[in-house]
Amino acid sequence: MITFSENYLSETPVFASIPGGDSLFPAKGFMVVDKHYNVIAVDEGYKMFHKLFHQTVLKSGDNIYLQVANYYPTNFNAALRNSIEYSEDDLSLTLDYKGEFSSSFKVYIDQLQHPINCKGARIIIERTEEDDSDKQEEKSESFFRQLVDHSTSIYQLTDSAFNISYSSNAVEEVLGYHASELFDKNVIDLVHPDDRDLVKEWLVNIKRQSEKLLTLEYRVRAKKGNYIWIENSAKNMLNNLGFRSIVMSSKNIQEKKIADDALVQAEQRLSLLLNNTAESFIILNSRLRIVTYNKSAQERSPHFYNKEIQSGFSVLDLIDESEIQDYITLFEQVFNGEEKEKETKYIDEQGIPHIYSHTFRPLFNAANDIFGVFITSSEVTERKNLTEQVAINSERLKTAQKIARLGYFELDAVTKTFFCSDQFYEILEIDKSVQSWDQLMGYEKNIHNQDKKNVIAEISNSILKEDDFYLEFRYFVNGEKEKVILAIGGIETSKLDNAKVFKVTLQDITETRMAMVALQALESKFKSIFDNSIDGVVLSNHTGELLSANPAACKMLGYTQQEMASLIRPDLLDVESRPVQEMIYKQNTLGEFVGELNFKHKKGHYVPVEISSISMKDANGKNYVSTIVRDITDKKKIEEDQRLLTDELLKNNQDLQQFSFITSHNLRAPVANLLSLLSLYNKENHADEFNQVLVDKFEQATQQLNSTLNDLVNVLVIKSNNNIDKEPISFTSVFTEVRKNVDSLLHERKGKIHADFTAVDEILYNKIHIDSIFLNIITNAIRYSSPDRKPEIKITSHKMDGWVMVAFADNGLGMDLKRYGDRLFGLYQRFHGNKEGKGLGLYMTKSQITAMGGKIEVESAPDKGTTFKIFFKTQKV
Amino acid sequence: MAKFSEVLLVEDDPITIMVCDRIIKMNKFADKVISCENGRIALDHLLPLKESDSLPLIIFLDINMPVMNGWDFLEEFDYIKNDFKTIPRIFLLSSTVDPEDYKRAKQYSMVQDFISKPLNKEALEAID
Repeated sequence: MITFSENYLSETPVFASIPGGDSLFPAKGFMVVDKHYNVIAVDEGYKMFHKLFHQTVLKSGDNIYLQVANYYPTNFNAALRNSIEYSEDDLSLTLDYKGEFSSSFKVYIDQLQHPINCKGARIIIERTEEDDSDKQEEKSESFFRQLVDHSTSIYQLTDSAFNISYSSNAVEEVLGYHASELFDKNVIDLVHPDDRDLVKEWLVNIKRQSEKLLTLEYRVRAKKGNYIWIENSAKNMLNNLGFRSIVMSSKNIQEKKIADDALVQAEQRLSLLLNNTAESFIILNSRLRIVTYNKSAQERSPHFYNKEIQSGFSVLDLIDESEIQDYITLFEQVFNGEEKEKETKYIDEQGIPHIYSHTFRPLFNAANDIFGVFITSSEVTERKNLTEQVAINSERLKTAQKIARLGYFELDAVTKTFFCSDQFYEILEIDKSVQSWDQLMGYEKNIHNQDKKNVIAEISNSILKEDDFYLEFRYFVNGEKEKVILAIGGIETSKLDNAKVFKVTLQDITETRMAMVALQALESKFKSIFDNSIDGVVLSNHTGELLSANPAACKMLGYTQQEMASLIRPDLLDVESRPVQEMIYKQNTLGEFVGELNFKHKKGHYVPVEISSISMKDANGKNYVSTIVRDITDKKKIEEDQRLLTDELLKNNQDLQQFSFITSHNLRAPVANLLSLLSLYNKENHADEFNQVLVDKFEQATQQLNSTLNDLVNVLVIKSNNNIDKEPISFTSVFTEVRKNVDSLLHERKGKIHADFTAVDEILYNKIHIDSIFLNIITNAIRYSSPDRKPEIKITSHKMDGWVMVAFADNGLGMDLKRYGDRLFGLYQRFHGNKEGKGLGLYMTKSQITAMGGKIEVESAPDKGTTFKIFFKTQKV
Repeated sequence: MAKFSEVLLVEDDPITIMVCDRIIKMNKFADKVISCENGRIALDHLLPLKESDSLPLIIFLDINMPVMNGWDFLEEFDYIKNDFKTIPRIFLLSSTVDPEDYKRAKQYSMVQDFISKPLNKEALEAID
């Protein structure tokens, strides 16, 4: 009797003595059945044996009597039933098979005792050897044929190059080819292209390893063109004299493959479920090899392990060697039924650390045995960070103290417990052996004499009155190096035990102090620039309220600095004017403005200025506008002078052009006359009467030309001579002289002249010019007198701002100034039918006046009279 | 028979008047030359003839004259020209070289041309 779940063939007396059969028909076989004759286990040898009696394939779970009960020989059935139901003894019998070939088998049956399921039987069959080898071969050949032709497996023989020399009939059933169609075809020809490499490798192995059965699953093309999965077991029997071939046996495993696919799909569905969770799962078997894992685990595994995980890998291969011992210890505990946790840290590409927590749980099977490990992993970075933060903060506090170089000192008022931080010693540069208040007070001598009193007073006060103190003092190290130290402290009473502790923090602020002193120096430098600048500097905010102004700006605009600081924009500028609007716009949009404006002076007048303003931010981020103001009054004046000068030049230029037009006209006119006269002259008959008339006219025209030329020369002399000699002139004497010249004319017209030069009688002028001016104007006044009145002329002098004015008023014909005003002083302009006028007089007069920087004005009304006012520029006599 | 029966010459210079008169007659341009020594006299002469057939159809006009110069004459005559049955054609006769004068002359539709002194045969022949 044997027991269940042991090796079914162990302790079998016949096992060792059975000599090896051939590959197609093993020499031995076994089967185990339960008491209902259901197959529990069966091997290939027994299956062959079974086939001799039945056409079906026997497999686990089949009932051996289902449908086929009658086929086993009666003595076998009886022996089996007996063995299961009654006998505990082993049975042995011989079976003879008489079919296509004859063979005899020894059959051993022993009872199987299962602890729960009671009974069953083990059947071992053993083929008995034939003595006659020839007969055996014949038998074998016949048996083989019988076997292969009725088998659902394809049997094939190939030569050493795998060209098919024989195919069994099953090939037609499985693949659709007639056996003859495959003759001399190479095995590889029918293989699915995707499987060819695998098959080639397999074939090479077969060829290399004689007499070894090698199995491979691959796809073969059926006659219809579809591919069918087969399992091919092949054996190199090239050296076997009976075969001299490679023997192949192929089974159709298409259905099995479909079942496998279904299984894979089911697994995929499960993994889909697992893969959609953020948590990572990995299942290890009892040998710590990875059985399965979800997507999350695959993605994240590089964060915990050295390699990407893969089924079949041992988890110990994925970790650093240094960790192996830790992991083994951990797994030992897990296999003892404990649940363990472990954390790993991973730093990503951005340098951000990720903390993962891993839980290792044992996996139990139905028998409560541990057969694997279930690992779940999830990120706990945030949680971890929080707890670490607390730890870091306290560390930071220490570091901060160190960096800030804050010294700390504590003294318990009652227990006299004394504590100084390292920085405290460093700042005061005292020895660490100082461990008591008294010792510390020994360094009081290092405090600057001027500060000592204050320090002692503050500290004493603080201790006695429990006030806080805040003091700065100078402190000498080794009697020379001076430090500035800030000390803050006071008495603190503990809430727990009412203990009074005197606490002080110290800070070396020497450098800060120095920086402040430097800053103050810089500020004072800036202030001196601000105060002493020639240009005005005005600071204002964005709404135009002035904040401050330097002395130059104040002086320029007439305000004190205090007054300036309270001004607003409209106080200084015409905010409605276009330039100011433009400035405001540019200041607001571009943040700067450069241009010219007029600032209102305190006294009300305007100061032309050039300003350059820019928006700035102060240290507190507040916006303000800094404006540099430059007084350009002088510049403006120069510009105005230049403009006047340009205007004058332009006018002079026009005058000259006009003069040239007029003179050429006046020269051409007599020349034209001369030419015409010449053309009329009768050259053939000099005695022509008319010739004499022409000669007279010729003389007149020549005189006319000469006179015109003389006039023009006179005008040119006046015009071109800028540096005319000046001398003190008395109006009275000039008038007296002129009076003589016009006396006859005046007498003729019965006119009178009143002259009064009492207001001013003397100027610095050119004698010839002033004579000419007086003569011309007086002559005109008499010449164009009204025929209805006796001419009366009044001449008066007047002193004016910058000028001396002489007025000549007559009661003559007068003229319509609206009509002639613009031409009055023009060259060769005549207004009266009087033959005497050439249109030169007033032109000459005006030229003589303007050449000396003066001007002439006229007032007149037809038939009332005319007044000429001559303005002479005041000269110092 | 001359081209025109009568022309008016507005000119103050006696020599020019004499020369023009002679040239006009010699070239059979007009049978009769009436001269006025300034614009005012010319206007006084023309106004009574505004509806008459004996209004001169050609006027030679000098620019620089006393009392009323050529421009003032044109200005006034332009103002009243529509009262005339026939508007005379005016030829400016001057020695001027000022470009402004040429521009100014173009403003008056009555002004036919600008003749540079001295008046000669060619200038007269150009007038139809």
